[in-house]
Amino acid sequence: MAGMTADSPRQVGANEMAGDAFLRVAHLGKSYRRRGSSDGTEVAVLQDVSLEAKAGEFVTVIGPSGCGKSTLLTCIAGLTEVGDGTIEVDGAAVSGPGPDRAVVFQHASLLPWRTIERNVGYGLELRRDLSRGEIRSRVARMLELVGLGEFAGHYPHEISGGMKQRANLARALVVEPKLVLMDEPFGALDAITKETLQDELAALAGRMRRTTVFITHDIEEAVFLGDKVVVMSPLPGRVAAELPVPFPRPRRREVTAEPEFAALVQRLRGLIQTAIPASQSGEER
Amino acid sequence: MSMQTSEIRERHRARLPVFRPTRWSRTRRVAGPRQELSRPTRIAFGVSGVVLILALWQIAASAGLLDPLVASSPSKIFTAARRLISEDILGPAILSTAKLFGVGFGVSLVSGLAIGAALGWYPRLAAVLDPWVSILYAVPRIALLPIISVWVGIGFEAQVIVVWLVAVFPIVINTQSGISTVDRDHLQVARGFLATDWQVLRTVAIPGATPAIVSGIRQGLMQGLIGVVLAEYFFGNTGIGGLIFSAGTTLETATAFVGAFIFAAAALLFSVALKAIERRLERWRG
Ligand SMILES: Nc1ncnc2c1ncn2[C@@H]1O[C@H](COP(=O)(O)OP(=O)(O)OP(=O)(O)O)[C@@H](O)[C@H]1O
Ligand SMILES: [Mg+2]
Repeated sequence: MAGMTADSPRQVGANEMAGDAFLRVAHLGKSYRRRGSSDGTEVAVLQDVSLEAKAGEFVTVIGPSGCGKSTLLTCIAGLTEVGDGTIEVDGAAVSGPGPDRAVVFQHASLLPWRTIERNVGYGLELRRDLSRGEIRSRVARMLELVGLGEFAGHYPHEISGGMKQRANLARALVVEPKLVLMDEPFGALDAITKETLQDELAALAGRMRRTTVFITHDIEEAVFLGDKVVVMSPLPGRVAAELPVPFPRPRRREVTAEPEFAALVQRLRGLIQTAIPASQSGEER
Repeated sequence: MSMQTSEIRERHRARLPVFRPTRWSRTRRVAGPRQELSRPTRIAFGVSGVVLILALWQIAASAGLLDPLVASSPSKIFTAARRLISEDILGPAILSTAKLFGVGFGVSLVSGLAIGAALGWYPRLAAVLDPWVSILYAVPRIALLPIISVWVGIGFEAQVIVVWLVAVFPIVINTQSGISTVDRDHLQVARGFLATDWQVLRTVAIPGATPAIVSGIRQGLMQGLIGVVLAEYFFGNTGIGGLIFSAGTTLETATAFVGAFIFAAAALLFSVALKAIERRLERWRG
């Protein structure tokens, strides 16, 4: 990050943040107790992370493995306590999970003893404000939308990894959250399934216009899906750069062939490499 | 359920390694390297094995290779069974044993599930009671029989307590461990949807604990049978256990074997019934 020069993308500071943000994360810090330490030494995982998303905006966050992306997401979800800083959604400070946010986890984490239909309806069921029939019809509509209509009665072990992620997506979207938080939902899928799901998500997101934070470590995915791409540095995670993506949404696969797309991907790759010290680049967890 | 959610989270942090794969969704159970037999084939093989052993036993006994007093023989056992039935001894004995087992195991099941679930769900309660459970489980419970008879005599009540003492522990321990090891990812999903503690218990902890609970019930059933025999031997000489015991003292080996076979049949029946229940409950495991 020391290598940032005048023509590098703007560095985000809270003072820069405009007032119309739907999601506002300001100076977020988080550390974990080091495993097995009794003297209380801590590892800083997130440090002074600030980012924001306007209503309806699709923000992708990219960064190397272990840089704190999932931690950032669970903080926004209210599932992890924050250390420093604040998170605001629609003007209200986040202090725990809320019905306004839903998470698509990195692992599908479907409940194996529930059918796909009942997994997708899980969030609605827990709310206890809808009738069984209403839940069923909402779930049925959502299953159609993600292409799982035929598999409603299957158990998770009976469907493929791609289908599990569709169900994971459906489970979050069916509660109609104002903010959708996705943690590398396609990270474990093969290239072909991944592209199909990206296309479907792009179409879906275009239609639903929900504010979304989408975490990934796939640069092309970040550019293809995002209105803007936030680049995080390795541990402790910081916002290294933020780039707008100029293509209008909804996007189709064809944009990936445009030279501008390739240039953006190239630029991001460079930024990520500057963010990672040479000794660390290419290292997986 | 008044436990704070932060407390649940702490507990699961403490117990589960962070990057542990979920128990069910990411590990598939598959058949071993050897070919698996179909159910009818398995049953056929099992039955032929029993028939073969009985035939060999009979042949050896008839040929005088076995001491009749010690080993008896299938035909003698069959005769003894017919005599016990015609003298109207067997039926009442089975009824008495079934009643003891039914009440004893029923009490064990209800209390075992309740105690196990409470211990699995409330870490503080578990911290207080775990040593007691371990101590009681480790003590050879036969050693407690004289104490029980001092407290409640040697009647039906005392017998039920013996069955309970033997059968309840596997149910408590398995239920506790099943409930306390909630999958971290599943917990996070539930919490993300604002599940209450009660909802987490009902929709995540209990279903996830089913395999452990069923295995606890299986062990409890088998231990319960042992408990019934113990109770009948030591308290009142009633039922099938009493029949075996008195037959043993008068050297009526065949009669003792009749009793033993009845317990064996009961064990087999429970085992088969439980398998069927297991298959139904765990269709999702595939
Ligand atoms: N509950 C926890 N307790 C202690 N340390 C944790 C905990 N959760 C995460 N960490 C640590 O925090 C760091 C960031 O983890 P996080 O899961 O947020 O990374 P990530 O960017 O999502 O990685 P990946 O791309 O591999 O999913 C890691 O070093 C991890 O070991
Ligand atoms: Mg992650």
